[in-house]
Amino acid sequence: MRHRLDGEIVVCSEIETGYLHRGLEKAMQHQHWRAGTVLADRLDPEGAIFGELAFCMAVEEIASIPVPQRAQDIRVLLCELARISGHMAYIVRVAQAVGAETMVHYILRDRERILDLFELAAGARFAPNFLRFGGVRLDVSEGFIERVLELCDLLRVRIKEYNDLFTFNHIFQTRTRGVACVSRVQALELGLTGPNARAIGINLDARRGHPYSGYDRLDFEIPLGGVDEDFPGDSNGRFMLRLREISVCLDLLKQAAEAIATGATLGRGANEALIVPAGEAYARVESSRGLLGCFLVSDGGTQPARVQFRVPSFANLQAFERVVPGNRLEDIPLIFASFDICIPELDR
Amino acid sequence: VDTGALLSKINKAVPHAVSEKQRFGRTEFLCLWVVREKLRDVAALLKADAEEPFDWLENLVVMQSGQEIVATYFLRSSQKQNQLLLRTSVKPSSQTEWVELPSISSVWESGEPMEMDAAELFGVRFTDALGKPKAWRFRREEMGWTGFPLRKNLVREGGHGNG
Repeated sequence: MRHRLDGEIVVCSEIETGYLHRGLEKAMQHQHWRAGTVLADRLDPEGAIFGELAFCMAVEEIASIPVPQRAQDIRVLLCELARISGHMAYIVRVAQAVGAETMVHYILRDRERILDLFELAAGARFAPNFLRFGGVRLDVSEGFIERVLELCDLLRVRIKEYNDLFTFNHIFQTRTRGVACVSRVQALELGLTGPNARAIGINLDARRGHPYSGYDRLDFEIPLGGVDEDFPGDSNGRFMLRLREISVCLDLLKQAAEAIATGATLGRGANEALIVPAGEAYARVESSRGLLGCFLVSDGGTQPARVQFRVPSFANLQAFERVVPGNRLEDIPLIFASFDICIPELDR
Repeated sequence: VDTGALLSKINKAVPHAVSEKQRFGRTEFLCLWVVREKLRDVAALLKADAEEPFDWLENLVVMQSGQEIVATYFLRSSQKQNQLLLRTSVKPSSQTEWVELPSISSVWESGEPMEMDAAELFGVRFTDALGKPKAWRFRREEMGWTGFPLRKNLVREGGHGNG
């Protein structure tokens, strides 16, 4: 990242990516289909389950593999937990950028509980490797659902605490309001998705637009930022939208946990030899950062012929580069944090 | 998408641009194979369409199919949320040769980082309207790589270096 300054004001900025390229897509093309989920986990370390899900959905579409209802419900639970965890990590980064260390510790304390739930379900806190083509690896452990419901109740109280401590703090408001505004037109031009687009009122969410894993059975509102705010599309708006999304995630978690179906967690034939016929598919999921797509081509062999991930961080980084000029040098960490850019996801 | 109306619109404005139409995978989405030289014209036409502008380039995928380098553009209309795919291909003279494809970043700004990402991995030079390749810095040769990482001829062994 290079910036040209006029005093303390950024005049232009230039970003060079690729330093964290790990060859994930190439590696997936040289592994058996089933090994792909392990690698898909590494796409976005903070939201590993989204990469897994996009990859599994693409394979399931090509190979017409059905997914049992209970497995769909477990997928929703894990996705929403990952979304809350991702948004909490976002709040941590924003809090660090403005020097609110107390908030960092409060949030990390609660995020640990979500990671504990991942450990309980999958045995791993960050890279669960839990999804399988046609379902999930295991049924959730005893007590998992109860602990999810407990977490929902706890986080409702905690959100108020976060708001009292941080969100409506005068210093935080002053630091973030009116900083790095993205207009609706810019957001559409740059292809912004996810909370960054919804913060400016663009109603775009793959859970509604292309329902998957049974999201169409759940009742939820998609929070949208108002264009009639004083500073539409600013850093504060992006932060506030994520806080509102955490509340929606808690509603979704509660609904999915209370109505979880009984039955198998892996479709019939899922443990047999996997044959993925020649074909192509493009699966979309709504990750905590935006629209995550997985384009997959099979030539009928034992490995994917092409795997490509459409990652939201591309547009997020482009938006960051676009809005930084005109802002103060000391605001750069805050602006970067406010766009929720994940470099490992970007470079793959 | 009304396939007939769309095709007649394209054929009228950019004659002989579409070489083939097909469905994408198991979906109902239309995929149009476009002649490489006319890709940018078709893209500009679709984006500027008064009834249903395909104003969002959701994704750009480059892949190798046989000996050919194929680029797929996933288009969406933000008004009606319709989807359309454009495809074009180019055949390199050898697996270590660069190929050229027209850049669509002048039509959809969001295409620029996607093109930049695919350029070095597949050895694709994206050219502007004057036929000049985009001036991006490539690190592959600086790091001692030969060939292009995501082409099929480059086999990854052990996960290190150029193997």
